[in-house]
Order: sequence, then structure tokens, then C-alpha cells
Amino acid sequence: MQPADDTTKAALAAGERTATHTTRLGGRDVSAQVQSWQVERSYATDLPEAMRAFAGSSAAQFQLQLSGTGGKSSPELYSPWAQRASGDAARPGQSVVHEAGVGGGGALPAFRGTLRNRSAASGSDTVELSALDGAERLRGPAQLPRPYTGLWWRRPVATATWCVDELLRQAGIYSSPPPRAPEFQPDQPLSLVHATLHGGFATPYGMPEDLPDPSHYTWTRSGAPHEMALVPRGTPPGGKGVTMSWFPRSRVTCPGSRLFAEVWVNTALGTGDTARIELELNRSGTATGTLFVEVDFVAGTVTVGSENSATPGGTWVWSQWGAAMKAQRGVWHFGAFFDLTASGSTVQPIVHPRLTAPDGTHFVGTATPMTPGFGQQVSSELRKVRLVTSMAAEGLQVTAGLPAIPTAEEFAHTGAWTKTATLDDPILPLMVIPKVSGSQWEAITQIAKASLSTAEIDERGMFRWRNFTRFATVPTSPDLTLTTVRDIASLTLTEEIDACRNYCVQPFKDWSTVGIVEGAVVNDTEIREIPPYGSLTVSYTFAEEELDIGPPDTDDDSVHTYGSSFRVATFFAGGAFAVKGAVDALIRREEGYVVLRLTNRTSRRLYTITRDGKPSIRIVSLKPSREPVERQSVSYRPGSASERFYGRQEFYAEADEWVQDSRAAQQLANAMRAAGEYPVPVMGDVQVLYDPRVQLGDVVRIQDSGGAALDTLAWVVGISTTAGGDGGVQQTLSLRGTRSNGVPTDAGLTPDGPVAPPPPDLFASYASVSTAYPTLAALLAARGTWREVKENTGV
Amino acid sequence: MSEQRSTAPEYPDRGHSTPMTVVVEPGTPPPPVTPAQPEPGAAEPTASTVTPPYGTEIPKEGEPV
Repeated sequence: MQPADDTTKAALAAGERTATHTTRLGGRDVSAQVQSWQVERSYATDLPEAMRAFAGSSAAQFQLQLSGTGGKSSPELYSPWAQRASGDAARPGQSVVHEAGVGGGGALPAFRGTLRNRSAASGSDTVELSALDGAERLRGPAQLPRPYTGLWWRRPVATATWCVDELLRQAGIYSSPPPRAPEFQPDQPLSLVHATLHGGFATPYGMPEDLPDPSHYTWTRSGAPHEMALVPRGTPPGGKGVTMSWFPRSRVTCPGSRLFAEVWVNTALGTGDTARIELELNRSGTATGTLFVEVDFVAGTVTVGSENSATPGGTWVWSQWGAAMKAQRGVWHFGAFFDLTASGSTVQPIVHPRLTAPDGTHFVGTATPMTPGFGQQVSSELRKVRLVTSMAAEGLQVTAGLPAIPTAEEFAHTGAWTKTATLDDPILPLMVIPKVSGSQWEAITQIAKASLSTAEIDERGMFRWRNFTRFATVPTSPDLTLTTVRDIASLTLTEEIDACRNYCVQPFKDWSTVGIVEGAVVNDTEIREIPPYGSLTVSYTFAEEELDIGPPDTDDDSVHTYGSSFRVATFFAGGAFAVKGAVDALIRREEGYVVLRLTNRTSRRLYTITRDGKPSIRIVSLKPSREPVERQSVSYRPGSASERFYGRQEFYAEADEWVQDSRAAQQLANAMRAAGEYPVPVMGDVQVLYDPRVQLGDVVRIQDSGGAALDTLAWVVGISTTAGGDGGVQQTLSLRGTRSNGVPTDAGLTPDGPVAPPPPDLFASYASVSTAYPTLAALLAARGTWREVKENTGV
Repeated sequence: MSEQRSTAPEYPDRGHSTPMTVVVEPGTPPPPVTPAQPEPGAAEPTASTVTPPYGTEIPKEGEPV
């Protein structure tokens, strides 16, 4: 229920229903021109009407009739052919905000969205407008990554909740800070990894590579820096925290790159007090280099280092912020900038960290080069980003190409985003992210129905996602009480057995025994040239069933990479030496294609050539080893009271790709049975006195002291509000009961059985036949058949 | 473990694939970056440490279940 001011509350308590409204089109106030308006919002649920549950999405619709003003008719001002100066306020796609209130109190948000269409009838003074809410922003194509990592580790790589969050992010609806540089533009900053950790390790940019054991972590919304965080609850043997890693979206080069790594942590949640971000560099052979930033809230230190497998590494330690780090428990944001630019083949990294404390205090270190001789990095490419944390963590990002460490405002993403979405606890763990099609809204609706969740954009434009857990417990207190004495104009109650579901089946796709195998292998047909500082982009067909892969590694002459790889040399000739640390490799997947972009960071001309003079680009795709097995989870209690009174009633949930876990399937089946075991009264549409505070999902108390002697709680699953030109407002609620009227007792009743008792014996007995026909001759004389004699008909 | 670092034997050669599109773009040297001015209040590190080179093998992160 929306909060309201005291004036509104007093007016509603007094039965005041004089409605006021404010309407803006394109930010222009047209309230005085509104002839009538109507707002409708309801869940598009597939569940039977009398079940104590609902799921699906809700897209609100707003209809408006507008008159003219200033001596001009409404069609003259707002028709499709009206002057742009006035008509653009009502053009399709224009913003619409509508607020309504009662009794002179402050108006409450009623609708926020964009216009869908306008209709102007010439000769009248009315233009009809209709608008849809923020769901309109989710009309873009739904796209989700499909990493192979879950099948490799046989561990969840994401959840359905993560998928919803990612679809929202694609539409600019954020629950946490967005990636700093999501779109690729040559020579511009680029987000290499953006892992929200909102219920999954999958990433739109980058790809998960190492997944932790699910027994070592959980997800939480309580105490999360923004929306949801990974919380360690166990430490692997020999580890300092839970470890996870990602391939970057582009394997950028060293020397030559500037990298910024950051993450939010909550020091009050977790098993320890340290977190570390590592950037692993792939050198020639099996040698590696590592750049890292580590925070230790017990020691009160921030350590930034550069290490490798050949020469001594070096670290810088900042300990002057230790007092604040030890004293302030809560959400910290930390990161470090690594400047790897150099003209030669080696670089002494210049590093500096930045932190933001829970109280908003900023701490930044000076740009400090590694001490000569220590921490040197040589020609290599960024191979992996690793996070090791013993504290709650959210929003890991690695960005390349920033000219300098972000300022305090940039670091905090100030002005770069607004929180416009709230999620719920993550549900439906996924080893493979299902393929999606259609719009983002359609994909979200599909997930909502599969998971018994609801998706909606509320009156303020905030997206809200709620799980089936919302009806796992029966509410005990209402948000609002409606009585037939004053609030309810009409009420009809029905009850039907079709809503009873006491044998619930939830199918799921079992991927637990599915591995990954190589798909098609792409071997380039030509040796290709990459101009100095230029780029080469090649695209290959990529089957839909093939899973996402990371950028190829850059081969050298000491180790041959067996998976996706390429090798470059400075000569178009066999035997030319391999060049490392010279080419950024960026990979992305488009409709039916995998696109590889190789960017030369040197002044030399490079060729994609193997040591023996053949084309070197090689892409190895991966795909599931076989189809998953479809299994079922059943929720059923033999001999239950529900079965005794209503019989065995089956509900078979639709099989889809979103349920991949027996535990999750069992939870859904149990929730379904708990909601459908006893039919709840259907209240239909209830006309009530207008209350602008009511929202979808609210619990209202329905009291009918005069008619049905009803006093129960119900969820609001639909609201329709209509205001006419006379100022009168009608509000109709669609309700779902939160509980049944108890278990039947059938006291004093002796229900009749399903089959009628056998009728009295009407057939002739031996005695009656022998009485009627004393002798056989008499019987034969009657000339009756056996049936006529037996049934005593006609004989 | 990754598809890039598989220890499996080399994949069999399945023939060659012609790209659907090939685009070559020339480039220019990146402009020199002006060093950022030190931020007021930026703190110098208070200590440094030296770590020995670690092994030459890529660290293993455990085996899949």
C-alpha cells in the first residue's frame, strides 16, 4: 500500500471520495483538460482463479480523454496532424505521469509510462490517449549469455533471478551500478568484466570460468551493498575465501593497457575480513603474471601488488586508513587502477587504490610505480579476473582504457544510474541459461510464470520482482480493511472444485549428468594482415546450440593452445617468431555468428600465421554432450483431508527450461500444493470506494457483515480505477483469497456415495414362477422366453 | 580449467572455415596520455614488500565436482 499523508488518511477514514488528479504529458501539466481517465493493472496469471496463488507479469494501462484549451479544440492541439509545438505532448512514446488523491491531500502516484496511441475525432473536443507503463521500456530483444561453465563444473552458474536482472539491465532498468563502458567503441574505455553477483556468476561482458562450490556461499539481499550479494559461508581448504573467476570480454595487452578493477563488499557479512581482486596475465609458455588489490579490514591495510613467475614481485601497502577500516563495519567500495602503458616489452606497473567508506569518506592513494626490479610485467595478455573474498561482495567490474583512475564521483557512479528495480531472493539455480526469444518483457513474463513469481512496474515506475515465497505463509494482517457497510458496493462469492490441486507435479530438466563436448571447429582459410594500430574483424557462423566461449588465447612458440587460439608474427612466412602482448582479442556473439576482433597495439604489421606458415585463427566451440533428462518432482500427501473431501486433483506444471534442479522443482510443487490444497472463495471483481493507496499484491481484509458473513484476507491481483467528467471515481478490485474456509467437517451430513445403491430385486424368483406355473407344461404353454419369465414381463 | 587450456589431445582437424565477413581497419597511434594531476588528499603508501617468484605453472583452482 502506498504511503499517504495525514490529510489523505483522514479523508479516507471519513469516507471522503472527492478525487483530485494531476496529469503531465511530456512534463506539461494538462490536468485541467482531463475529461476522464482510467488506470488498469492486473497480473496476467495462468493459475486457476480460485487457487491461493498467482503469478505472471502486470503491465498497467492508462487511458485519458483530453479536451482543448485556450480557444482551441483538442484535435487542433493534439491530433496526429496538429502543430508539433502542441501535438508533441501527445505523440506516441511521450512520457505520461498521472497522480491522484482524495480530500485535498497530496496526490499519490497512479501511473508512469509512455503513450501508445492517440485518436482524435474531428468535430469533437476530445482526443483519446492510451499509454502503457514502464514495461514498454522492455520491448528490446531479449538476450542472455550462455556460458559453458556450469556444465564444466556441474555447478549453478546463474539463477532465474539473475536472468531477470540482466534483462532489466539491457533495458536500462538498474538494481545496481551499471557497467562503466558497456558498448564497444574503438579506442574508448571498455568493460571487460561486469559481474553483478545478483544470484549468479554469469556476465553480459566477460564469461565465468571458475565457479565456487555452492556449499561455500549463499546469496543475500539483506545487507547487500545495492541489491544482492554473494556471501561466503565456508572457506575452501587452504583458501582465504571463496574463489571465482571470469575470462575478460577482450584479452587486452600488457604493456599498453590501463585497467581498473573494483568491487563492493560488506564487512559485516561473511566469514572473514579480506577481499582480493586478481588480474592474471598470460605470458609466453605457461608463465603468468598477476596484478592484484587486496583489502584486509582486520589489519586495516590496502595492498596493491604486481607479481610474476620469473622475477621477484612487489607490493605497496596503504595502512593510514586502517582506523576507519577497523572502525566502520558496513559497505565499502574499493578498487585499484593499474597503468601498464610503456613503449617497450616490459613495464613497471603504476598503481593506486581508491576506497569509499560506509560514511561516504573517500580514500585514494597516489599513483605509485613499482620499485624498479620488482613486480615487472612483460609482454602478455589479460587472461583471467579472479575474486577471492571472505566478505559479502557485489558488482565486480574491470574496465580497460580509462585515461586515469576515476574521480570520487565517477567511482561512486554518481549521476550515472538510478535504482529502478528491486528483486527478491534468488530462485531456480541454472547450470545452463535457457535460450530466450522475443522481447525482454516476454522473457521476464515467461520466467515469472515458470517460477510462480510476479513482475510489475509500480505506480512510481519501480520494477518489482517477487517470488512464490510471498504466498508460502498466509498473511495475518491486512494493509487495508474493506467492509460492505461502507466500502464495498457489491460482492459475489463463489467456490469451485476446479481450483483444488492436491497432487502437484513440477517437471524439471536435469543437467547434472550432462557434460560439454567440442562443437564445430573453425580453422581460418587465410593468413590475414593486421595493420599497425589497426584491427581485423572476422565473423564465422555459430550454431544456436553452441555455448558461449571466451576470447581466444594468443599462442607463442613454446606452448600450443589446444582450444580457441591465434598466433601472430611480424612476417608473412613460416618460421617467423610469435609475438606476444601485441594484439587485443575481443569476442562477441551475434545472431548466428561469433565475431572476433583483433586489434594491433603496435606500430608493426602483424600476420595471423602459425609457425609452419598456415592460417592461425582457430575457434573451438563447445556444446552440451547430450540433451538433459526430464524428471518430475511430485508434491502429494496420500490420504490427506483434501483428498478425502475433494478427491485426487492433479496439477501438472508446464515443462520448461527454467527449472533445472530437483530441490527447486520440489519447492515449486510444494508451494503449488500448499496454495491449491483447499479451494478458496473467489470474490470476483469487488467494487469499492476509491482508495488511491491500494497497490497490486496488497492484502485487504474483506468484511461482509450483512450478506455472506465473510471476514477474510485477500490479495489484490487487479485494480481498475475510472474517473468520469463529474469527478466521480469508481474502483474495482480483483481479489484472491489468502486462505480457505477451513477443512470441511460435513457435520450432521451423510454424503451420498458416487454410485446409487442397487435397486430392489424386481426379477421373478423360483418360488414366484413355480406358483404361477405349477407344472412344466403350464410354463411351456405360456410360450415365454427365458428373459420374459425371469423379468416377469408379458408372461 | 578452460576450453583454451584443455589438456585433451589436439582436436582433429575438421577442415577449414571461410569467415562470413572480414573487415580490416587501419589505425593510428594512440595519443599520448597526459598524466593525471595528483588528487588532493591522495596518500603515499606506507610500506612495501617483496614476494618471490611463484611457480611457472598456471595455478590450479581445484577440480570440478
